[in-house]
Amino acid sequence: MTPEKKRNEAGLPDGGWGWMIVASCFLVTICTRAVTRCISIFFVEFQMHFGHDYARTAWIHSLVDCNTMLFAPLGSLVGNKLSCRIAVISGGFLASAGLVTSSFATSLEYLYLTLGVLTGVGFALCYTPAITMVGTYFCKRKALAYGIAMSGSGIGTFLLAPAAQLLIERYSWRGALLIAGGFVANLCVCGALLRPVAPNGGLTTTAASADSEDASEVRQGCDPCSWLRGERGFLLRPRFVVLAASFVLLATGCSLPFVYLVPYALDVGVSYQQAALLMSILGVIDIVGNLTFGWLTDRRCLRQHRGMCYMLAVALEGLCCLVAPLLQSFGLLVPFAVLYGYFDGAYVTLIPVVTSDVVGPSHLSSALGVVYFLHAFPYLFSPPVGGVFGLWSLGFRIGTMWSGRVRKGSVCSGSVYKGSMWVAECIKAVCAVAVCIKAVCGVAQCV
Amino acid sequence: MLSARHTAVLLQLLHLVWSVTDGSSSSGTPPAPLVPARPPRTKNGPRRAEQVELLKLVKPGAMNLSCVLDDFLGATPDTIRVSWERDGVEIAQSEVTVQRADGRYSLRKEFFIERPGNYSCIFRNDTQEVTKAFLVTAPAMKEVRDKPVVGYVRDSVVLTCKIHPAPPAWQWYKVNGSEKDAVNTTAEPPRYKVTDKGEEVALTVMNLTEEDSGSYLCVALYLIAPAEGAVHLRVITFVEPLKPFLAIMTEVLLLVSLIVACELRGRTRAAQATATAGPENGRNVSGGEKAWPEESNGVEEAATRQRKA
Repeated sequence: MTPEKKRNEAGLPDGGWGWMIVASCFLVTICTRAVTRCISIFFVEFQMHFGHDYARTAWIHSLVDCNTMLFAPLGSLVGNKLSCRIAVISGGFLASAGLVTSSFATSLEYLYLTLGVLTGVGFALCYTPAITMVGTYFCKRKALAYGIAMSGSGIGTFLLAPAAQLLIERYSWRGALLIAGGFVANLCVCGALLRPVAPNGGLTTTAASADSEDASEVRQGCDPCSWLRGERGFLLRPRFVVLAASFVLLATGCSLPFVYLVPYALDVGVSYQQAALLMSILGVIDIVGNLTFGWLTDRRCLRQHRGMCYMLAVALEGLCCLVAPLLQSFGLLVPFAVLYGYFDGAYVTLIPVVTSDVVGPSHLSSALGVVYFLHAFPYLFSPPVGGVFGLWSLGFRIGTMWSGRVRKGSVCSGSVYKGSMWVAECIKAVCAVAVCIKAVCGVAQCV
Repeated sequence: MLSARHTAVLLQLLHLVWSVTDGSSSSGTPPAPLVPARPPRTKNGPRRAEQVELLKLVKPGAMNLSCVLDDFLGATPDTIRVSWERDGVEIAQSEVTVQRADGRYSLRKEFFIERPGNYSCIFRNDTQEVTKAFLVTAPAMKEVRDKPVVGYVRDSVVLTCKIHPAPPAWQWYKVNGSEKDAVNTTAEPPRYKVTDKGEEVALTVMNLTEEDSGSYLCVALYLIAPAEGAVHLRVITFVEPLKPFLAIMTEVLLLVSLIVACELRGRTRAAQATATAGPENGRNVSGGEKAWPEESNGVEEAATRQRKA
């Protein structure tokens, strides 16, 4: 890859500093998504210290997750108005401050505020602008770039979960939260790397790419009326509406198997070590799915059919959930974990790609804000349902501390798990149909 | 757990073994045997332990112990002598003769067990013995943490112990050297709080100081015998995690300054390059914001310099 390489027809570098942007987004994903998952490792400590039950402690995680998605439009707004760089740096500062102040917590409500709200909003300010920036640098290799960037959550959870355990053992939860605050301050470094791509003669402070027909809308960004008309116009496009509906359904369904796999496995008679192995398989294959599916859908032959690939990934995920209640042994659950993990990684990678295909690169920032905002409400409401069983995150399950809690959860009736698996598959099937409709309507390509 | 009497028996046996293997005459007159008038077991040949069974008891009570043997070291005599022992001492008048029935020898006896111990039945003929032992103990503490619990000065910390089944009472001790002091929950100002949740007990230590570091013993007071668990506490100041935190913040500040400096330098160089290249460029070049060049000579040079930076 030489610097003399021409920009592609859309005017995007498709490489060069773009790989630094991918690295920056990778680190942002680690510092936001992986840290969110690792917060659940602190729950036992919070429970012991504050004397509350698991359901109340679990609200912290759902608050962080929900706020990260709920304030995603704010993140894309700041990214559009000021710059993605300023958004990510201020988000990093806010999140770090939230974690540092939470290390002085005197009650659970204090933690709701500092961890749940402050850190959650900080993460929201970082997540969407970083993902948007990757889209502005890549066109031909967009899916691969997103695959690498999104794999940060899986890889980060893998690395941070044992690190969080070690920190808690050495410094107790207060010291561990303080050091986590320091780690999250690296978001400012990521922000500093987000050098905007300058469109030909356009403003350098927006994240928009050099799409000529939308360049005028970009320049009008400062005027509130045209901002509403121009930047929010994509909201009314039928393709986007269908896509948004499918995302809501997907978000409702996609976290359920992660929550219920281990209790379900224990319920059908799998040993605890094997259940933990299932979750590890799920996590590792998730990362593999991120990277390989991204690379695959960038291939020239598949690029035109990216929408179909996305639909296929979602439909196969749903199909896995459909047959899951029939799988009653470890030997059958392993292929389920492999397939489900792969297609889950695939779908996560393709969310920004498909969104950018539908709304066009200039509206990507605002569209992503809306898309992740729609993820917030399912994330908020599915945790209390799963809160009794106490299994949120992947890293949580890779760690071996929770054997007692998992066994307690498995004592509850197996029919609940089987019922929820069926609900998950129905939801998945519905959104697969929704995406199918979208694909049939035709998908704008970036060739 | 051995009483003084048992220790004496053991020492005499060891003394006997030592003098026999040494080959030298014993240093003094052999002590009067404290065991009953049977010949000492060491002369009978090796005792073979067939099984050991662990029994957990929470309170004194009657227990039925049954011993079953399929064959006596390969042989199957019609009758066999069986006697019972408690903690290595034979129970008086406990020997019975057992007939072989249904292809095995089986014997059952009820004991009133008041304290933990080692109960065993011994099947013996004239030369050899086979034993089955029942180890009766109080339950053991669950999930004992081998790593210390960490607390901060002036903060509070919670130490927990778990056991199954729930004991009638719990007691906490702090270990001071070789002694243990009961934890005082009634002192003013309140420093300790014990929360008894049946199978789990929590000791909250408030207003920590560095002297509070050390081992704490939680004792489950079962009627049969107490069960102990140790929890270690380590009290540190806030300075300890502050050091890695400050190290990371320094690294963040350094990296941010480095990146910003590189970019500013690249920007000024590109600005200089465009200034010298003049208006021949044609294409729009905005300062040093672009990392990669277009097909124009002046910017190419600046970008090459940028790359090397």
